[in-house]
Amino acid sequence: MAQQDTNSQIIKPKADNLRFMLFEVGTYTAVPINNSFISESDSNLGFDINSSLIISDTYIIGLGYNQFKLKNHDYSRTGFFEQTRTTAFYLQLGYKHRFKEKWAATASYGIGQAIYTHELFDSTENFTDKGMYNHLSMKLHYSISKNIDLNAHVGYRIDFLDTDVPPQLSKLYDNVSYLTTGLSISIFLEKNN
Amino acid sequence: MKIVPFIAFIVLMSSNSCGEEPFDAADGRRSFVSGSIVDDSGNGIANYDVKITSGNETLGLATTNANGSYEAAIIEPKRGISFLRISPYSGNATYSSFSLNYSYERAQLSRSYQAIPVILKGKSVVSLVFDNATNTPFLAFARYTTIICDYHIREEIITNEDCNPVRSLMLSSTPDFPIQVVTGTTVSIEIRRNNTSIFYDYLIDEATYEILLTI
Repeated sequence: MAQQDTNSQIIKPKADNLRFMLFEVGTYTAVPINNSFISESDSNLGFDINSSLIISDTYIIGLGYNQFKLKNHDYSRTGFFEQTRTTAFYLQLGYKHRFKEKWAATASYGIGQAIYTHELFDSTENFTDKGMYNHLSMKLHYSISKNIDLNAHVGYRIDFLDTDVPPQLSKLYDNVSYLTTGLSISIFLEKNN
Repeated sequence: MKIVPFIAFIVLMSSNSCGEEPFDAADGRRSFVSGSIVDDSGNGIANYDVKITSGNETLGLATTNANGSYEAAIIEPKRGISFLRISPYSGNATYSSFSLNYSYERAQLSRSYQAIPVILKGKSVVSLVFDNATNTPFLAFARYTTIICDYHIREEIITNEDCNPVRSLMLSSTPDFPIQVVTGTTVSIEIRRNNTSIFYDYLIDEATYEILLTI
């Protein structure tokens, strides 16, 4: 019988614990993958911040925000503006599986609102496109201490846009999908029942 | 004394109104513009950049494909589009120029515009040099076919077409600038001096052409 790691006993939460993740903050990269109005744009590194409640070290419910920028190149798809700041506010539901003392994986789904704020070239005025944010992701967690995790995620995001366009543009403006990746750090507050 | 803040308010408001208004683009709306550009043999002109504007605002850009067709999504002012102009993005070295000027009584929202086909002709750049050996004052009149072709279209009906009009340029010395003419047309120059006129005609059949007149 293998000897149990004494450190890991400290990290492993009890089955009926509620853990509050104060925040998770990290990089957020979203690369457009479908033929859409921004598929020729260059995506810059963004960030994601979220906070959640973890029930029994298994079920996750949280709220989050992410943001990144897209540099515009093909104006015939987008209209004439310089760049886009893409933001999303979302509710996240997830299932966490701890498969080793310090290692866990999460499958989660986020739903919310995506806002595309387009910045014009020579004006301080911006304008927006809005839509419904959907994000499926897999996340790998490594606990470096009782209160800190390091995480890596890969995901699929699809935003269903509400933009009013004539039929010739509907393919480009119906939805935008992305491959997302990111690295993050989580800070926990633990409360024992 | 209460009038002082009132005057200051009026001055402030008037100074603001003198400035150019920022472009108020509409949220969540796009329109679509398509058209084609061909040469005078009917062949599509590829890689020709066009811009789509309304007033002072650029709404979109497009580039023609191998067939000379172009398509563009354009942003819209909040008030909608009452005027739409399609024209070259920048001067083209090979072909003549154009502008399609659409106007509508009611502002248009989120719609598609099928622009009329544009036929462009070859463009030549002509330099005029007058060698005034006797140094006697003279007047020169150059008549040439311009490269501009303007269409005015109201409610999708062409109301005015001003295509490659002949213009006359009066000169009293060598101009600092070349003139741009339609390739294959004639530049006629009249030199007036001491109540006499001498006429010269040049058939412009090269992309760059220099006329050196010793008078």
